[in-house]
Amino acid sequence: MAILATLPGPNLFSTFPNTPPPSNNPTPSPPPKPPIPIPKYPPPFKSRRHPKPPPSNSPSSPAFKTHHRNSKYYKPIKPGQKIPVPDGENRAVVVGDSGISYLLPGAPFEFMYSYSETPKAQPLAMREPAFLPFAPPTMPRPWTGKAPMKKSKRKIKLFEPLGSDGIDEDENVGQKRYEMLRDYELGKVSVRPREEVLGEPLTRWEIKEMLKPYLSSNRQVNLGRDGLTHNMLELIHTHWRRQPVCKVRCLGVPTVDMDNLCRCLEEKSGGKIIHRVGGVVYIFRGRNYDHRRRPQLPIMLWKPAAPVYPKLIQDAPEGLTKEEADELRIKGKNLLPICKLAKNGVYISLVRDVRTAFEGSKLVKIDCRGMHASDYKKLGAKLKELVPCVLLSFDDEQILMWRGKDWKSMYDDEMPKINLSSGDGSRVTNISDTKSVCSSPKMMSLWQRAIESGKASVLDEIDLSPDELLSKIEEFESTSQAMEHSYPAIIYSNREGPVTLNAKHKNSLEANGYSEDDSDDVDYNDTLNNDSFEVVESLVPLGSLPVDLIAKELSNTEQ
Amino acid sequence: MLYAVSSPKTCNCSISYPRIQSPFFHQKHLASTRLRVSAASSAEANVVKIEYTPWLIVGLGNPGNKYHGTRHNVGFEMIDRISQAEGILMNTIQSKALVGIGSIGEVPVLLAKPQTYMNFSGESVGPLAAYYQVPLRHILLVYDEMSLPNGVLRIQPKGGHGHHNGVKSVMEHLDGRREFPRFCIGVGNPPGTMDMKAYLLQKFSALEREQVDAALEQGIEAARTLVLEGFSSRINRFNLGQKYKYHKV
Repeated sequence: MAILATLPGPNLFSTFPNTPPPSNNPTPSPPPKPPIPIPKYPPPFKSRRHPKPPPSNSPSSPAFKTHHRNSKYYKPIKPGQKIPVPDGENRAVVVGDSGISYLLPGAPFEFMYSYSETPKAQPLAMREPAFLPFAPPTMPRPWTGKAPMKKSKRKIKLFEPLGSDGIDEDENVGQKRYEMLRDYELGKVSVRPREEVLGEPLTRWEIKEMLKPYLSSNRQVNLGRDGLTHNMLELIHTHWRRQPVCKVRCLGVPTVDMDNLCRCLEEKSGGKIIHRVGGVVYIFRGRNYDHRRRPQLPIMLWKPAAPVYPKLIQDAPEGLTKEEADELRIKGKNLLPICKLAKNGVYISLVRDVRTAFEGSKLVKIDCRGMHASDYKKLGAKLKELVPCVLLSFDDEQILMWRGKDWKSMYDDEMPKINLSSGDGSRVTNISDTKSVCSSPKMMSLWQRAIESGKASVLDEIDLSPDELLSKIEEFESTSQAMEHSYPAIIYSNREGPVTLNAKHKNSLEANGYSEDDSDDVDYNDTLNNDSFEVVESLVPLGSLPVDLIAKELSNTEQ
Repeated sequence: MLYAVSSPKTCNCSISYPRIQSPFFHQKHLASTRLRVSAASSAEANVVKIEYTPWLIVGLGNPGNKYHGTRHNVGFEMIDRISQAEGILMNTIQSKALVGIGSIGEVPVLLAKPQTYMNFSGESVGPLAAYYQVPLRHILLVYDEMSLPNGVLRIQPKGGHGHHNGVKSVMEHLDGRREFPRFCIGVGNPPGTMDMKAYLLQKFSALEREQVDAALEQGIEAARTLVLEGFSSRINRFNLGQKYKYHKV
């Protein structure tokens, strides 16, 4: 809308109309020129380092406020490069297969920022100058915040040791040791062998007993999108100081690969995992754990910048031309996502689901709305490694994946799967030709019995409407119920069909036969039989019912 | 209760109900196996030992014209299709249900459509199963399932009632046992805040009708496989295929 300059004179209109008045001529005349020329202001000052305005859903966690994202530092690195650090002897930054790791003298292993979340891809460049994020190796005197002491006051002060030397606990239970102020010796780590710390393996009942108090407690170490970080190891040891079991709750991106995570936890912390449910892991410290003799790793003082990795999504990935890739992307736009991932959820079954979804379709889409961009990109990178697949796009906060040219099905196709295409394999047999109902003889005999005894009835017409069917059934029910309640229980024998004691049939009186043959035990039977019924239709030869056999045995044992 | 189902490959197969999971998932506890039979690779690779114990396939639904073709009555429709495909006439009335007796291959099969209202289906299924002496593990219940998307089928060896009154009543009348197989036909969740009961007693929309028809066709084949082979890996693959069948390009 053109900004109208204020006209001199009183305001003739109280409100401006929203729509311009309809004009007769199609080409609108230009608006009248204002009497005073509009001053031109200089364009807003754009600095080179103008930070982007934070998006509306800006995360407030400090993890996303690092400076590295905006800095233009870019130092290409080669794999296998070892960059010595100006700090001191033997300390170096190593660019290895698994990202950037830090070599400290006397360290049991190479330290990394995250032990479980470093991608397997080779880093291309670093975003900050090579510097170890640990405290400097030695400090000449402990920093007390004051100037050095005057000569008159130089009395020797004694302190209790910080416990950083390997002491034998047994000796020192009752003693107190005092030491003079001495240099901190950082980074000296002595590691006890793992089997010694763990001791005997735990039995199942021991594990159950030990776990009970921790199952519903919320004292835990939280493991988030950075996986197993270096400082987390120290945290686990502080938990172990007080309790033998440390509960680690894993949420978010690292849960895609729980096996790797658990392996890293066991290796680096030196404990043993005793129970694993979903995203929660319970680590036992070991029977012979000693907090004072644990490896005291220096903690990282800041989060180092992640190196630059090759781009996840390429225009023409892996053998496809750009047009083919674009085609796939267009097809993927209409695809339904196989699942929706929550922001900090547990994605244990994600790899399996994606693999099975690839069986049916070559493109798979995952809905990641609500997650941070860095999160779903990391997720995509992990999926690319674990399910071998090719990432095609991340737009609309959905991950679109292609299964790759050399995709092999999980199932060897010798066992053909049930036909999914509709309309195939349905043999509509002709109902009009009266083929005899064939089934197993037992079923047929049961069916016949049911019809004869009035529990079932055969319908003449088959294609009844539901209402007619309902009415037929209801009337049949009333008649059959009357019959059912008029005679007693049906005795099933092993041989053939049920033996019904039926008031209708007129046969010879078999009840008397029973009472003659059997012993006194079944006398009660014949009185019943005599009283209520005239006949018994017997399909079973006398004395061969299971009751008779039992009776015979009992009478034998009696005699 | 334990029958050997030899698979056509050389592998140790676990008997009774193998867990319906992908074989590649890290299984901590394998299905409880009391017998392990290693099937030798035989020349006839496709011979699967058939169990000749009869199956009772029950479709749940409401009787009457008013409820014909509604979502809750998909069970009835499935049974109709199976009876047409296998040529089993449903011409007997027994125990308040429309029953048809026949066989699929060599296996005797009883198809039943209880004509009691849905909440009382158990009153008809229980006595029917008892009369024909069908073991619990061979009672296949076909019903609609709101937790699956429309037209997705799933065959499970056992499960819960999923707040389905028909299944609840059947479970009651089978002495509270839940270990009977189910054939769930997905109808999808009610949209928005629609009442669940009103949703189930509605007829299908046009698109849904097509999807369900296609699904029923696929289901016939699956039911046949189930009866002939029991719970095998083919049923696994069928379930997985159904789960992702709408996620195709």
